[in-house]
Amino acid sequence: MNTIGSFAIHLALYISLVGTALAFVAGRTGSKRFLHASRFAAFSTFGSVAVAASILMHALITHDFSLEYVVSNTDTHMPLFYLIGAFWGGQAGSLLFWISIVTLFTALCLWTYRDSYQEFMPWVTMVCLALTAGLLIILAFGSNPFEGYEVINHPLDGHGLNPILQSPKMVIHPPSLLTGLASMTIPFAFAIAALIVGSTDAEWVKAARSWILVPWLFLTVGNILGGMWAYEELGWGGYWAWDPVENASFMPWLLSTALIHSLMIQERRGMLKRWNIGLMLGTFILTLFGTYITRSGLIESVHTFAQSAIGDYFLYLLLTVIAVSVGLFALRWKSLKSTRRLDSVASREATFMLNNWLFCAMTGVVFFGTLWPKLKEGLTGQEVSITAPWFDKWMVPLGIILVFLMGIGTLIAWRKASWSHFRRDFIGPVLTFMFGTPALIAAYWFVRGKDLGVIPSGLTSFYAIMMVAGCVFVTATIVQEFYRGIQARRKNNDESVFSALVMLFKKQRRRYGGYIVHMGMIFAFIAFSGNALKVEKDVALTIGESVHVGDVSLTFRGLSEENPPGQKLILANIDVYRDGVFQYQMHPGKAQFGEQTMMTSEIDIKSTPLEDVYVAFVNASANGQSATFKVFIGPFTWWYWFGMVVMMLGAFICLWPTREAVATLGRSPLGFGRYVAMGILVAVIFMPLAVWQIESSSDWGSAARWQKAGLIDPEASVTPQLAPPTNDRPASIEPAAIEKSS
Amino acid sequence: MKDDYIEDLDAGTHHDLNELSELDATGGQGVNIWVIMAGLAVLAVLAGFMITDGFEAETYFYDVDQAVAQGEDLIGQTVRIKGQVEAGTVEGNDGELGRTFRIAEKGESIWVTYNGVLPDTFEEGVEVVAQGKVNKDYKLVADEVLVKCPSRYEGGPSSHPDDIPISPQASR
Repeated sequence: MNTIGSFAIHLALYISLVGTALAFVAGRTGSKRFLHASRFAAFSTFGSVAVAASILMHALITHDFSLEYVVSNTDTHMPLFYLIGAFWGGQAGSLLFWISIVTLFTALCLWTYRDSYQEFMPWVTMVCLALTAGLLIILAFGSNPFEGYEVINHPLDGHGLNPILQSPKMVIHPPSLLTGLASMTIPFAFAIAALIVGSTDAEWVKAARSWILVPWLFLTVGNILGGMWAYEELGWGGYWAWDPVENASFMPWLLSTALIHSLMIQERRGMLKRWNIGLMLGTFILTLFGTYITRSGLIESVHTFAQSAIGDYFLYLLLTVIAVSVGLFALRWKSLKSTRRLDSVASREATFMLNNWLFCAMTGVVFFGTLWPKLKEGLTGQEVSITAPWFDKWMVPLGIILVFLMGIGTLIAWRKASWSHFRRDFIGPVLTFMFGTPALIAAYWFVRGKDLGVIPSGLTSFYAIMMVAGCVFVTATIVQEFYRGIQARRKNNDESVFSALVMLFKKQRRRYGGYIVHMGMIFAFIAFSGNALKVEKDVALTIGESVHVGDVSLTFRGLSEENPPGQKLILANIDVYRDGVFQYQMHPGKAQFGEQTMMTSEIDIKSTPLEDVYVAFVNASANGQSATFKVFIGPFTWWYWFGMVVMMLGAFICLWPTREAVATLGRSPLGFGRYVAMGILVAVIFMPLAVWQIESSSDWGSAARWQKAGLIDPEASVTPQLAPPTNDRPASIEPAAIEKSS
Repeated sequence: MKDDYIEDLDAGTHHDLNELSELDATGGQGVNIWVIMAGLAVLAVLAGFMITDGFEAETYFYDVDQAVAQGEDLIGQTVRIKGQVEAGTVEGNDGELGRTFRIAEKGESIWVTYNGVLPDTFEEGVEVVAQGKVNKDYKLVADEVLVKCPSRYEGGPSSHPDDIPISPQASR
């Protein structure tokens, strides 16, 4: 079985190399037959990789401990959900997952465009297959998931997955991020193809516009879910720490967001040709760069990395991609001259350009802050770190300008805004923002804010107020857009308000879907501005003692300990009062699992749209008489997660396939391809909801499942038979720990 | 996506879609080159600012022996210092705030005081990274103490691209 897996990887490598050559010939000669052959090479590559992935998944689920990968990432007590998660939990598996996504999207893209973009497609095929081959080389020679264990030290039980990673969010955060990074390959391939063909028309832009939204959506979701996980598991009360690894996945997001906007300009007005190609190449290079720094251990962060050999492989891949991209770009520099210039600084194009510059500036800030410490260490040997406040100092003002631009870009006319336009379009939103902002802020301050007892510094409050002002302004512009759209439709077609709204989404899905995405962004910004009033306090309490944090008072009622065999579960009981009235009990805890020496925190959060009350139990005296906690009150944090859902919804509206698009998918032999495509989209959208459901109605995310695992008689679990790794898998074990949630 | 061009709905927020047919019209007279130059100059100045500011935001990272080797110069600096918690120097108990301990590396040591909550992985003999200011008594007044993870999570295949944090606190 594992031999087959290993063979499938090598076969995929072989086919992708052959396919690259075929595609090259097809591109040079324009031969249809070669193109056809290369397309099938891409499909076969996908097939082989899928076989390898299925075998690895099977090995994980059946506890095949003859594989080192399975031993290091799973154990016999893990529920099925985490066994599946272990597929991308380790290095080799996540790389295999990455390749699966690249080949899947390549196959999808080639299938969709089998009759269009004839002069592009050979080159697109070539680039995708060449990249696949590069990644497969890393997988086959650098980190093969089918490495076996010697019979002599064949383990009986795996090492398991670090308990801190065993939360449902951690199961879906890596794959969504990896999917985002991997699917960036397709628009990149189109850009390179455009450079090779030397085509100056907007064909690649059309294709890229359809394909860039998918990676963007996955990157967004992946980043936010990572923050969600950190917020709920790590106990420092925040969701973003400007950690190098976070930054690595944030930079491609910034550039691709810029790209989505500037592609629109090129499609409409034939401008920014060079800029777009440059951005596309930059985005892809950053995705590889991000993988490189997280995989190579180049940058130490609060995350520890496995130092591994594949870092070097990635470096070579990265350098090759950079060399090819920059070389081609330089070669075609002249022919990419834009056909038109900017008409006026007061125009939508100019606003979009400014937005692009801002995104690039942000990327620059993050890039510098991430890389400089490493550079400096290389140059002088002195280790330094650049701390989060520096990032905030630069990113916050840029973010505020960006929010205002979001509103202006929505309103301002193409080409050249005239004074009359300006009056007609801006008067409503500007008035709303002039009167609405102070009203909103004053209302919040007197109803709730002043009770928190935080007086932010002048600059912080200025930023927070500006951010809220920007949010009000943008909201007003979006409402106005929808209102006008609905009014216009009703005037022309005599529809009800609701059906007019639906028709707007149907007829101009990208535009109105985009507004919904903007709205989601605004919700996230509301959450950021809430941080200005964040209360945080480290407290030590003896039993019966109370402490005031903001206007909430916490009373420590003692610890309760449970000792199922082989582990320890300590819960702290806290009564929460507000204004002397009892509100609820909170139970932050700690859990120690199996043979792990590390205790993991189980943080308790009470979240409402107004604010989160967040308590992490840190440690206690030996007799349990006193304990220390970290307590946070974070206004509006809820809106960050809500913003994610709204952004997904918006992206989803943009991506919803048109009738024509579905038609191009054609009748697959079984006729259900389109349903699968739709199903995947629907699944993506409902994923967060599903996770919440899983977490709340089962014990998968909590320490309770360890209790259950502890109740299983260790004698009862069947030990796997020793089997030489070259053989088929050993007799499979009953996965003892798949519990039925009661 | 043709639909995007169908702007008929828009009661004139934007130009109507004759734009498309205008694509082959001559472009505008373009933006004055000086505007672009000015923009680039502003950008360059900002970038310069950002980078010099970044230099100032650097926090130096020393092992204890490197830090102590600086002698008096260390006083008043904000630094990150890495060292092992010396056995028998930890004052105060778990469940309390305001702890003091000494960290050592290569025979040199320095006292650390910390008013927050020490991470639960903190114990004698572990490697910690303390960040803060060194006061006149040559004590590091820490505003953040991180504990290096137990060795169990080092080395072996990483469980995640961003693996285990050193401790449940990151700089805010």
